[in-house]
Amino acid sequence: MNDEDLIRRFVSEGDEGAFETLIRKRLPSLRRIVAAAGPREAADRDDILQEVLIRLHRALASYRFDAPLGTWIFRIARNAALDEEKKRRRARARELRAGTGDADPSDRSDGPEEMALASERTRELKALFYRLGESDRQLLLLREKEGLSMEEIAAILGLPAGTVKSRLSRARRRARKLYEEAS
Amino acid sequence: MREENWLKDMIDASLEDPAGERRVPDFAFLKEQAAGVRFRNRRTTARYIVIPAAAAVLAAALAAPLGIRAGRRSEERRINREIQELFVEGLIGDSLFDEGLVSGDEWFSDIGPEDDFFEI
Repeated sequence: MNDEDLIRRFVSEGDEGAFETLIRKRLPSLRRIVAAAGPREAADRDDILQEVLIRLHRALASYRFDAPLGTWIFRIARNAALDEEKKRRRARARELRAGTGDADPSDRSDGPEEMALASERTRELKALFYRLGESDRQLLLLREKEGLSMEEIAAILGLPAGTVKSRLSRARRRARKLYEEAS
Repeated sequence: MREENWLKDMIDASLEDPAGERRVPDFAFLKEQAAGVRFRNRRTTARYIVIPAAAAVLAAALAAPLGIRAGRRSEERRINREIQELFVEGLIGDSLFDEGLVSGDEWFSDIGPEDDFFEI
């Protein structure tokens, strides 16, 4: 069954299994997009991913088949993840002001699970990557890891394709500079 | 190391979740959760009704003293008019104000303090 059939089954017949099938094959990419939006701890990423799936569940009925499904899903996922991350940062900042927070949200380190699993080298690279801005992280992810075209990235980020190209070039330069400094 | 390699290493180190495969999203409750969000959004939307309504109530509360004052003045005018009519009808003109307290256009409310009135 192709994507279009799955969408029709979900939207017209309320087939939740069709939705799950659609999402499951894109889960690894969705996890990465959520992670690039800002959360560094696995628990935060999972919570935000769940919110992203809720938004996709609600939005799928409005999909009009005039844009590639993958691009459409990634765009919603990125926007939803950014919204959620901002909400969380604001909540943490409020907690910090009220004296109930435990850390500066901009300087959160990895959680215990990440610490146990990641090597020193991995932690260093991760710290470097998160020194880049969110837009740079998404650009590098979508191009280098997901292998999307400039046009697809432009559709996801809501930018002209020419702008994507120039920003991607700048993002690479910034990443290289950070990497060289650390080396 | 070639750029693609270190860059991919960096992306993988940052965004790949080694334990992610074991943690499956909660698809079973997604429908209920999505419905919950819809409900929450409806309540949020109601703010756009509640805020103008609250503004209207506030405006009415602020305007009330003005209305009360206007009402009092209206009541004073009504009493004066009734008294004037009594004068016109000659019912009290001679009996109460026949010592020159009321002459021409002056009425008893123009006399001044109450004490003065009763002394007379």
